Amino acid sequence: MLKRVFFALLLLLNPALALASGPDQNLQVIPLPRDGEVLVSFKLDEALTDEVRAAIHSGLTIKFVYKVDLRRSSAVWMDRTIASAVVTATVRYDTLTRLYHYSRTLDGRIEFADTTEKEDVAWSALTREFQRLSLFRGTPLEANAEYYVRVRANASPHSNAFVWPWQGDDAMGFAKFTFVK
Amino acid sequence: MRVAIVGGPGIGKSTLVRQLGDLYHNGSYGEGEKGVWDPRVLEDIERGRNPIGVTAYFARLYDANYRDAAAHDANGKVIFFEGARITLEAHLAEYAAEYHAELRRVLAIGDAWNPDRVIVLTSSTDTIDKHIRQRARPFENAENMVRRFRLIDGEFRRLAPLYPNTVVIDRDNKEFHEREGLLQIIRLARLPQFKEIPYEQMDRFGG
Repeated sequence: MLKRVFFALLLLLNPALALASGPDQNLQVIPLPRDGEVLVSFKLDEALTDEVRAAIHSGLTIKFVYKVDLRRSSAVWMDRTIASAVVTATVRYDTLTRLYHYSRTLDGRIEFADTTEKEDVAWSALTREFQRLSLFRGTPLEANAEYYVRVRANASPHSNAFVWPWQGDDAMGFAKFTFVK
Repeated sequence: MRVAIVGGPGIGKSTLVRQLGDLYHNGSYGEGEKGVWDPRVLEDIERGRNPIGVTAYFARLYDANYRDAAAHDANGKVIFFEGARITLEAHLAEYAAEYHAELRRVLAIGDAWNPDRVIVLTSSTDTIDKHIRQRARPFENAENMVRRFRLIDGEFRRLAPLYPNTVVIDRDNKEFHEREGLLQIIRLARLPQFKEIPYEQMDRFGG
């Protein structure tokens, strides 16, 4: 119990530090500083389970919400969030046409919407197809400063009837980078 | 593989078709503009005249492109087109309901095209306004074009789920004159990878 409280406190005060000593991440994050901004890639490294497959095939709209924070590390006090974005991946299986309708929104705005017959493409859209997203365009970054990108994921519908691929409420991942101009 | 790029006026279809065609080296077919089109077509579009004739003109223009491409399509090729059947249907909204039955007969010209992928480009109205003013085509009235865009863009979004192999992509923050912007479109539309022309540092060139 004490260990969990300590880990939660550590995470609250300095998530990057907690990451260094924490367990393997199932949410992999790759920041790429380029042309004055940072592009963010991430993937939830989980296989499609029978429970999740059943949830998707029930016809309900399944939504994975990724909260992405760009943060600046602090050696002495709490880390600072510079900017945040919300990436939402949605899949709805049409039981009549047997097509998966999937889409992605960035801060509530639809970035793309597509359909597929293939389950793996739909699952990939929910968990893996987040490559080089331009989420923090226009956010001023200090040259040679250390930052990190934190991604937290949760899924809906959220009830005991569905078992999501990760333990607890959120999956989480971090990655540090130095912004070189 | 035939990939159609469609969307409302001023969205950047021509640029994307040209850029992707140049990237894949398998050919591309734009829909043209002033100088290519019969001059009377432009005038009729601006004034909302002759809806059946205008729609049939573009249907025949697209048909010529799809027929020509069929002659040299092959495994591994990716050929790009501006326009598809969904384009003709989306533009129906510009015309009074009394023309719709006849216009739907024109749509039948596009029944055989069946592109393997249709990319519907969409965007915010601000971006469209900027593009239309930047390209400053003398025959285009910016306010009228933005009004038309809103109407036609709404139709594309409504129709997209009804057409097979169709992906809707928001082009905001995707610059088609930058490699990253093209890669984003390729990724989101799940197009096959293009073959990069190798560029090397060389002091001499020989076998």
